[in-house]
Amino acid sequence: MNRYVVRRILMSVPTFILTVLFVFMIIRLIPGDPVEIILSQSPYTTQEAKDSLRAYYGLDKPLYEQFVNYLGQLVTGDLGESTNTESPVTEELRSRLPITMEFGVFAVVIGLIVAIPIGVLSAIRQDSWSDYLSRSFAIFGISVPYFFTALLLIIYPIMWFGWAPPLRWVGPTEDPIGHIHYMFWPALLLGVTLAGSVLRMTRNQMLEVLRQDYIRTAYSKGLRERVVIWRHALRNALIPVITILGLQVGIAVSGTVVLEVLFNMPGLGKFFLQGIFNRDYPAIQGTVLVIASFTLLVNLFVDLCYAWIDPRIKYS
Amino acid sequence: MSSTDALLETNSRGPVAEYIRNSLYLNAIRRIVKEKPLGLIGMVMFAVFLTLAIIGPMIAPHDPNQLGTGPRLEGPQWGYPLGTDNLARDMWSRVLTGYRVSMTLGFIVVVTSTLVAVILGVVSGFLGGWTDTILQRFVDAFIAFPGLVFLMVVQAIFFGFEFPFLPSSGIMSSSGFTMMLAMTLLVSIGNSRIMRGATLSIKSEVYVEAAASLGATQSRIMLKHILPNIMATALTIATLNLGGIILFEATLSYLGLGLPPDVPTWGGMLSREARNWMSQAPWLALGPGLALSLAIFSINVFGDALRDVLDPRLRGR
Repeated sequence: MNRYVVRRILMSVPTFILTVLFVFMIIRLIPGDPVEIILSQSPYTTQEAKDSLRAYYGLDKPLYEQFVNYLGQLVTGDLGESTNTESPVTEELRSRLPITMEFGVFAVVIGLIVAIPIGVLSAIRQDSWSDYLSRSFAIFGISVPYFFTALLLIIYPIMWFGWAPPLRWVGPTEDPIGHIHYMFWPALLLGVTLAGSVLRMTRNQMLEVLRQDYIRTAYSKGLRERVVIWRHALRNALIPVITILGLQVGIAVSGTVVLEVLFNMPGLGKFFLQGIFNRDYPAIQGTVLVIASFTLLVNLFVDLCYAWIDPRIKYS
Repeated sequence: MSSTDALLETNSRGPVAEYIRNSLYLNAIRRIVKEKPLGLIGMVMFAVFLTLAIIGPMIAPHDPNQLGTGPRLEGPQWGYPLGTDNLARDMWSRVLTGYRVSMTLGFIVVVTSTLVAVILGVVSGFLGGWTDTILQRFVDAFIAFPGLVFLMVVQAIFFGFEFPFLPSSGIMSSSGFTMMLAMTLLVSIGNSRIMRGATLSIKSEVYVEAAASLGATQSRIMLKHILPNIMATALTIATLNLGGIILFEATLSYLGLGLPPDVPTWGGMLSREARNWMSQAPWLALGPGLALSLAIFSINVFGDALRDVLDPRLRGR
């Protein structure tokens, strides 16, 4: 067990270094003079401002020296100053990360609550109407983009029922119930997208597990169907589903970016997109670094969970 | 293993193998028609959309970009089945043209990314050793990165930049070009892992060993023995990726980071027209949204069926 854990953690080190290198390169890859471009949106375009910015990024020094300096800044938690809001990027990220995290977790929870029971039911009643219905739902979740369903949700209920999902940000401290109501709709839309592939995976795995000998044994012992399904079958079927969840993190992160913009949520995604349109490169770099590290950590966690649940992994 | 597969395994060269391989895809389609009703629906829809991509702009009643072809912001009516937008353009013509945009872009990226994935995967898997280890660490880093975020970063790097050798509008404009380049990178690196896996399994076959012991060079083995045998996997992945690529393009265009405004793309229509004018013209979202959803649906369903008949091992990827 320990050997696997150590190996897996060591494996994520080069990945992390490559990620940091990529984030470091973002500014340096801008075609032309990055300083000119960064300042093109700001009112301060004096030679002085240019020189100080160039010195700040160390763009006049050799590349390796720039990278070492950048690492130094990272270690001290200095991600630079947003050229748009003129506040430290670290501070912006600190206030925005919890919002995006809450949104993402909410969406994943909804996705699981929807996907797993329906997936199990679909497998138990294979080729019945409920099976077809739930498979159609899965395909719907995978095929229909959330920004389209979000638009439909915002456009039509207000016309037909005079109801619209809340589009104004409500903080958790000012109005906890209003906050949950606000978060629910975007989380539901993203959750349905995530549920699609989880549902299909749960169904496929359940079908496979239900044909195993130990399930027949459990039935022939006289166990009730509910016990066989939930205790014996589902536990084994869920193992590969966890991997799918790991892969879903990328989709969930992308979803938060798009839906935060549409629902005016002051999270990381909105900050990121604003950063791109304002050429606020410190903001872009900081957000990407946080998002990438987070994804890495989740993938690491998923792999470790996987090994913990399925001991066969450790010996391969 | 079907008899065709068995024949192919033992006889990967020569005219007989060529004949069998050609009919491998025909066989796959035949099996989808016979065994996979949902896959068949997807296949037929996909064929219709491909046809629309070719003839769509020709049968469009109006020029998709022509301003003032109809009344402004009017709902579906005779002559304008999907209504008109804020610039009085015909939505039906725009949605029809969108097929060509999405499919062209999708096909370009699928072809380039599959080529790169096959090359990377075969080289990495066949050569092994340090090449493999280093390449695979890069692949690891890449796979861990959320795809859309990577594409957005690339668009951020080149934001507003015009390549002097590219046209200023259309799919091949600077932002379209960087987007396709980034997608190719993203999709091919992810897929190279699968192609590497396929290469590894073929590499251990006896006929590869036989070829090597007869003195065949490494490049000959890669080209003549490995490559033909991983084509089924490559084709399956390519089909499954097409939907994802079209969705990526739509999402980026929706965010305003994709194709320029003069290109009628579904994602762009959903944000520029539908979202900005949603209270005055609620019908604007339906056309492009449904076209996009149905296109992705058909490709997913067809791709799944193709995978089931060509390469069931890819299930769950």
